Amino acid sequence: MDAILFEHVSKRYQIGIQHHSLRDAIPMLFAGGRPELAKPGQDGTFWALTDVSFRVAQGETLGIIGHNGAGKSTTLKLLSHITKPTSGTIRSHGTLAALIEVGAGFHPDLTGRENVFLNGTILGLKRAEIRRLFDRIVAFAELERFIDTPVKRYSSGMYIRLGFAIAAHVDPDVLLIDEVLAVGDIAFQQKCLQRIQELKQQGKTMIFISHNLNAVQRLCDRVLLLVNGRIAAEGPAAQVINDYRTRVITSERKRFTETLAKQRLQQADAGAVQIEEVRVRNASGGVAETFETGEPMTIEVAYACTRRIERPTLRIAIERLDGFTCHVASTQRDGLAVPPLEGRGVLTLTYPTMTLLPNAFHVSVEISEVGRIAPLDSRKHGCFFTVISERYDGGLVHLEHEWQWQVANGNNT
Amino acid sequence: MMWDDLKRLGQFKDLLVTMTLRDIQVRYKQTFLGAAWAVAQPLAFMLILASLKSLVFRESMSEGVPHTIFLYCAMVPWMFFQSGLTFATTSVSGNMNLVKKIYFPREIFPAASILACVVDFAIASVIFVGMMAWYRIPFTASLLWVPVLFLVELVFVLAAGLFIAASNVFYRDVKYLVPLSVQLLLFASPVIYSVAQVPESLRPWYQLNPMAVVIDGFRKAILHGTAPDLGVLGASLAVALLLCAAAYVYFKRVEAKFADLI
Repeated sequence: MDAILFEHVSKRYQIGIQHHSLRDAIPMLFAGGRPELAKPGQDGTFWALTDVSFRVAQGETLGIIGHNGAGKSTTLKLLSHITKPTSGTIRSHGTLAALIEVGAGFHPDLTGRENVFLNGTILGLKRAEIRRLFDRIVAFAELERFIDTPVKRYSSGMYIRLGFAIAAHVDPDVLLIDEVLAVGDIAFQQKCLQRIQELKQQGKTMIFISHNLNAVQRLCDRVLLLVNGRIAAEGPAAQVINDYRTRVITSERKRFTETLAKQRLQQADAGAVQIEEVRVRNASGGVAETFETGEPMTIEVAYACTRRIERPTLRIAIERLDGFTCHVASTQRDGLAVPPLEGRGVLTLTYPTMTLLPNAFHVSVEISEVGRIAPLDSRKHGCFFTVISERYDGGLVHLEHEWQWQVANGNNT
Repeated sequence: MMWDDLKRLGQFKDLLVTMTLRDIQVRYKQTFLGAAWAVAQPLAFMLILASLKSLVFRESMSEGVPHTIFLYCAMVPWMFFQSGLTFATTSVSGNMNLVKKIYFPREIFPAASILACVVDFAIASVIFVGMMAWYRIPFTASLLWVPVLFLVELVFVLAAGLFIAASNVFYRDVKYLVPLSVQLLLFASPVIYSVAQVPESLRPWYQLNPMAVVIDGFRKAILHGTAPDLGVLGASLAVALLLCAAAYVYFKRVEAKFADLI
């Protein structure tokens, strides 16, 4: 049975024109229109969702991903009855609780204790249930000492911990989770993820909205990709996430080619050497964008010099799209003397086995000269590639590994 | 439709309790006098009026009872009416962070802020009982009418509160309109004068205002030990219930639009 059913749901928002004073609204009434429909909506409306249909089976965890403004939060608001669809129908079975913005229901003047009751009942708990769960909630939040302090004196971390602790003890049939993991320190994030995993194992139906693609992949059975208010892809987590990364790369590349052109103009005179192009090639020598873990990969840097560079150095970094540096290869650190550069040419770096695990990456390149601090030319986001893999180890890179068993044989006589 | 809404509200009665407690706790947090403000307000208003009495009022205006208690007897229900509406006005628009993030029946906001005012009413009533003893007003069986009268008032305040709270989300003018209307209504209610001073011919119109009936009922039941006019009280209750049902239907109809507005 479906826990949630979305059928051809669309949601339109009014932007720009709003009537907050009777002075605007009264003339509208005389003009013969209802205030909110009075002005024609061509430019005043915005479709947050267009014809979205999906279903969530009981016990399933559905992930929803997409850019900011793709319609994720609107979907969640519709699910939790905060707002109504402009057209289409939404059906849901069982009780439903939304973990949207942890601590939204806190009142700053009330103490932690009073807020546990306030926020707990807002999330649908009964007062008797909260009394029963109270100690566990406080222990989860690690706030025993401060529970009778007004929450306005809490640090933001304490605030979030208490908020999530309450939410994590709500026991609905369907749980909606929106970006709760974007906050808190890493240890607490792990604790939250663990709690979500527990709820999943208990057979809870969940809808999980996050920019943390790794968490989505770990938790979700199925993923929905929203682009501009429409469903762009739907299917197994790994597949849809890869699809999303490819789209991100395409738009990022476009963005960086545009900014690059501008940068070029600004630093044109500084360049004794110019990085003309960065590309990655696969085992068969073709320029590629998708690699498999374990495959060979070659990075090529095409350059053009305006003068002879006596002692050049080259630095190539592979970075994950969020900016995390995965690997840096530097001729200087490798103790290599690169022959002088002159005119045009191509420098290559080869990884015989590229062991990165599935994700999206870009390559940054710097050409410098020994004795100079500033690089002669650099190119961030020189090129982009994604990595896919049949198997998914989890983590950043694949490390060669082997298991061993030493079975203590209890039956041995 | 309205029945389903009420059933859903029933599932959230714990939230109503908590929200009411929140409104009470928040109201007097960080105030030096705390709940004493519940008494200070009607007391101050009454003292001002009582000190003017020699200038403006004649003894015949206070229905033959001491002027101070004559005024205070009306001030207690009037203050409930005034503070109930004041707090209900911004109850939804002042909680937009919640409205946009989590769903629950929105009528809980105005209902809780009005119920929180019941506490002030109770505190003011305790003082009133002390005053009754001081002025040697006899305690009669007619006092049993007081809960009934208060119920009529509560229904009326809920009706007005629901309507005002929802309207204020769409038109912030309401926030300014409410104190003005409440002040006008003060003169259309027998707070600083007696019903006896209203011309007989205007009486039926005058009694369309449920607050007029309620306040007059309070004086009759407490100060004079007589029952209120049942026909008029019944009509007021019917009017209040009808208004409340209409306001509730209106509230539920526009409720879904709250989250789409800023």
